This record gives sequence, structure tokens and C-alpha cells, in this order.
Amino acid sequence: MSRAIPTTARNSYRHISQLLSKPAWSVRALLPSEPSSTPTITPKQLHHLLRLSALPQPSSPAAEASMIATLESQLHFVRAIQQVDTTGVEPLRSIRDETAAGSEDATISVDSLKDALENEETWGHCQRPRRRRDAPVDTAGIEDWDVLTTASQKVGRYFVVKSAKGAGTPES
Amino acid sequence: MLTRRRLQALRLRHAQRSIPSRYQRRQINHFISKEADPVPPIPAQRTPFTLAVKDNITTKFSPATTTCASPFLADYNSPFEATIVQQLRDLGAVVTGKTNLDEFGMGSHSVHSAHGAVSQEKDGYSAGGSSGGSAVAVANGEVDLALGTDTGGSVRLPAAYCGVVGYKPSYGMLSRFGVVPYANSLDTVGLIAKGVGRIREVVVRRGLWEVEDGRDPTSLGRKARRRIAQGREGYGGEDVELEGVRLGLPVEYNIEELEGGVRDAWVKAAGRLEERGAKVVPVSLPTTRHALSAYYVIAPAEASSNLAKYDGVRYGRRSEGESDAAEGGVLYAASRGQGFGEEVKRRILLGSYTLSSEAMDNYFLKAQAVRRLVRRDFDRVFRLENPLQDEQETFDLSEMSEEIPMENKLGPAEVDFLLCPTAPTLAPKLEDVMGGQGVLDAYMNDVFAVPASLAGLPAVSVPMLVEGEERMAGLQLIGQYWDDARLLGVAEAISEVLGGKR
Repeated sequence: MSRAIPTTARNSYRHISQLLSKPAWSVRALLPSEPSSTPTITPKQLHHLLRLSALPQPSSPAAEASMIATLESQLHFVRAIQQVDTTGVEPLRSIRDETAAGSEDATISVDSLKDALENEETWGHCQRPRRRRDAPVDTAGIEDWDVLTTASQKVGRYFVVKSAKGAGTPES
Repeated sequence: MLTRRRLQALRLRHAQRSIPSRYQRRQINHFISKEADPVPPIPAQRTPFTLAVKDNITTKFSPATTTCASPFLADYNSPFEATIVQQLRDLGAVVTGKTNLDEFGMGSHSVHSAHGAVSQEKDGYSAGGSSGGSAVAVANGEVDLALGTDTGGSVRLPAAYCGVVGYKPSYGMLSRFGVVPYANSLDTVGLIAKGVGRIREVVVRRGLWEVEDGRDPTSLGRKARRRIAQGREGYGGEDVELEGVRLGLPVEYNIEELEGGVRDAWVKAAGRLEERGAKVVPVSLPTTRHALSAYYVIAPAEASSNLAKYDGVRYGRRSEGESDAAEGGVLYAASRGQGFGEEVKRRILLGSYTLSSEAMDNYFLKAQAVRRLVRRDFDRVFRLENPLQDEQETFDLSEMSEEIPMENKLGPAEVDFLLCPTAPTLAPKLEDVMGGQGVLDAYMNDVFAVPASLAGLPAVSVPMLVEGEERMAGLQLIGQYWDDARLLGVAEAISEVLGGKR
């Protein structure tokens, strides 16, 4: 019996080892084999993307070429997804509870607004609702911090945006 | 008089000379800020334990800064503390410091940091990323537990490289309130420790899994937590037997780039678990080979949108100049150009492209469709159903790889967990990573980590010995959604078999 265990063990190693003897694919295949001969990103497109990203334009033609090369290689890397047949596949946008019970939980109903509705009274001929404002709203932990404390520049109770037009003298 | 050329030559020589010393100084960089006088736990009856917090998770005091390893947030003080830090403090955590990372979590070696690259101290290996600082702090025994974030493997990869345990929970389980977002649909808070036991203690036995955080819109609702847990085992914290557990070996995780030693260790681990009564079967997850590309569309796209808020106006550093606009007149571009590191800018630009009107359908939406296929793959192989959908997916057997044996005429064997390596290689030398590796080389380290992230599944990396090298690699265990309790139980049993710390 004591010898039987190592034998089965060796057998199980062998069947697992056999199973994994042949690699299924190569992740390196995602890398561009050589610098792409037909660039798909033009300098004009790069400038547009940098503007969309609110990032500075390249400082030199060399920097521009290097940015395009990097973006091209990244795009080559991700373009592999276009070989996948996704006909009829709904995009998965987020991981969330999509069951009937889940959407019921997430539904905002009259019940979930009960507290707010109870704080209303109606008046006048048309029964217009009006919120009672005498009861203080508890905003502890939500509104009791000063949003300006983290700003490096401020003028009074205002944030400062240095637009090119104002050239150094923030409007207040 | 110095000519311009001579001046340049001198500068170059000076720069070359100063590289080694700067390099050495950078190697002790796994903490960004350290608390000299840590705050003891408030409920004194708790047994205190030390905790390191990745510096993209906010702490309000002790330490007060949260930098995300970005020049942008070099002296940012958060007005509130992350829920997860507060929860762990309540359980007895003493926060001793904030750990280094790849800027905003974008990287696989913890080298893209304003505070210098992280390295495993003794031998100069890469710590992995992006939660490299947290993994090194645990590996060095400086803290009992460390918090990281895992968007596409950022907790599991450094844990694997540093020979410790890294756990990524089901998406939506642990609160992300106070965690600086990178890619919302993927971000999770993860835990790193020397043994699975400590992680299991806080998540399962102390009930962190149960708590919904109303301030985190991605936190799963309380009712759903209870409902789903009813169909799951292990939430009572009971011990789990390996006997009868079905482990699937995904054949697509056997790639050409998988190092021989890591493959052998994987085979041997599976064999030893089979000896202990687990059933090991091959499974196929065909979309795995496209998961990495899909991830590198989705994550940068979400990042480019998320990081649009960094303008230097309301918080963060702003450019020195007269105007917030860079040349060409784009407002905030000057601050953003100075405030972000190179890798972050590269990913923002990629994201802007894949979200642009001409590329949106072919890249971003296509990647999200691939993401659904990745999740469908997992749902097909797991014995447990995906609790987030009423209608379970159906599969066409004729499209399945013929290497996968059928268990009966209904299909191949269904499994409880997937068993695979965490990364294709052992930790590389940091100097090899920093010298001459292309932008894409680091992306490939995530190949085994991103599928679970795309599907929102729980996964844990436990250390396994690579014989011959006498170094540790990571063995990854992936479970069906919300099967975290049993996953951690089985991982604990597995690390015991593999000779690790409990």
C-alpha cells in the first residue's frame, strides 16, 4: 500500500504533464513583428488625440515620431480582438446584479421615497406639494468638508483657472 | 569657454555616473510615507495587527497623504478616509505606512512611480506591480497585512513575484470608496499577507464580505449579498476539505512564454493536490487569448475618462506658468503634461483613441463584447452558476476545442476552481525591466491575471516553489462569482499541501 501511492502519484503527474506538453498559443504573437510600414495614425490625428486628452503637443518632431510609434504598437497589440466573432454578443459594460431580484432592489419606488414624501405638505386649490424646510437635513460626512482646502490657488471662496486670456491676473 | 557640444558631453557623463547611485537609493522604496507614531486601534479589546496601505487608497490621518505615486498628487491630503481602511482599523489594524506603486496603478513592475522603482531588497528582482510596495512590505515581514488594488492583476502579480499571498475579491465585494479610480468596471481592493489564513480571517470570519457600502455605487447590494451567499459554501468560516474538489487546468494558460520551471511547478502542484483527493481535469477557455487585448482597450479607455478630472485647479499640483493652458491653447494641458508620468500619458492617449468616434465600435465596444465572451467561458466551466444573471448562458459543444474530453454526452467536466500560474515567469531582474524593455513587454505579464478581472471573479495567488531555481512563483486559484469564502478555504488547504504558511 505504501508503494502504491507514489505510483499513482507519478501516473497523475504524467497525465497532467502530458496535457500541458504542447503550448496552446503564444502571447508574443500579439506584438508587432516589425515597425508598421503603413502607419494608421497621422501627425494630425495625434495632435487631435492630444487635444482630446488635454495633454501637451509633442515638443519636437522626434518626440512626435516616438509618440506615434508607441501608439501604433499599442494598437497593434489590442487589434487582436477584431478577429473575434462577436456577432450577436451584447457588450459587457459592467459587472452588476442583472437578475430580476437585483433590478427590483435597485428600482426607486414610491416606497424608497417615503421619507422625503412624508416631509411634504400640500397646499392650495391644486394641492401643490411643498417641502417642509424647518427640519434640518443631516449632511454629516457629506457636506462638512471644505472643498477649497485642497486647491493650491484660490481667491476668496473661488477656485482659480489661469486661462491664457487673463495672463496671470485671475479674475475675482 | 565651454562649447555647447562639450557641455552636453559633460552632462551626459555626469548623468551616466550618477545612475548607479540613484538606482541604489531607489531600491529601498517600497514605502512612500511611513508613520513614526502609528495610531493604536480604537477598540482596545481587538488584537492589533500592522497594516500597510497602497498609496492610491486614502487615509485621512496617520499618514495623511495619498499620492498615487503621481507627481500630480505629491502633497494631496484626502478629506476622507477609505471605507476599507476604516473597516480594518475597526478590526484592530495599525496603519504603519503607505506603499509605493505604479502611478495610479498603471504598470506591472512598480517602476512607473514618482518615488522611484520598487525592488525586492535582497536580490534586485522586480516586485511586480502595481501593488509592489505592499507585497514587498509583507514579504519583508514589516507588516502583517497590506492593502492593494487589483484592476488587471495588480495584487496577484506582485504577490506571485514576492512569494506571498495576494487575494482579489469578487468585483463589488469590498468597498472602493476612497480608492482612487483607475478603471471603474475592473477596479477591486485586494489583500496581501504571508498566509491565506489572515486574509480569510478578515474577509470571511470577521464578515467584511457582508458589508455593503452605500457610498460606493459598485458595492453589491445587501439583499443580493445574502441571496447569493445562500447558494455558496464556506461563509461560516469552516475548514474546507480538498477531497472531492474539482480543479480545472485551463489549457489556454499553457502558453509558449510559460517558463519551464513555472510549468513544472504547476504540474507538480496539480499532481500533489490530486494525491490529496482533488480531481484535476483539463478545461478550455478559448477567449483567453483575446482577453489581454480586450483588457488593454477597456482599462485605458476608462482611465482616460477617469483621469480627465486632474486639472490642478481643485486639487493636485498645477503648472508654474502664467496660464494653465499649454501651447496651442488647450486649458489644463500644461498641468497635465507635468503632473502625469509617461506610462499614464501613454494609456490616456490610447484610451482617447479607442473612445474616439472613428474607433469606438471597432475597439471599445468590440472589447466589451469580447469581455462578455470571456465571462461566458468561465460560466461554462464552473459547476456553480453565475448568480448575476437569471438566464444562464448556453454553449455550443461543436465549437469547443477537441482536446477537451467529454465527461458525458452533456459536455465536459464542470469544475469548482481553476488552477493555473499567476504569471508566465518568475520575477525578472529589475535592471532588465528598466533597461530596454518595450512598452508592451510589461503588458504581457498580465496575461493570466486579466481574464478573472474582466469577468469580475475572485482569485487568489499562493506561493509555489520552483525547483532548481529555489525561488517562488504564484499558483492562481480562480472561482465563480461570490465563491470567495470557499476559494480562500481551498487556497488555505492548498498552501498547506504546498508547504506554505497558513
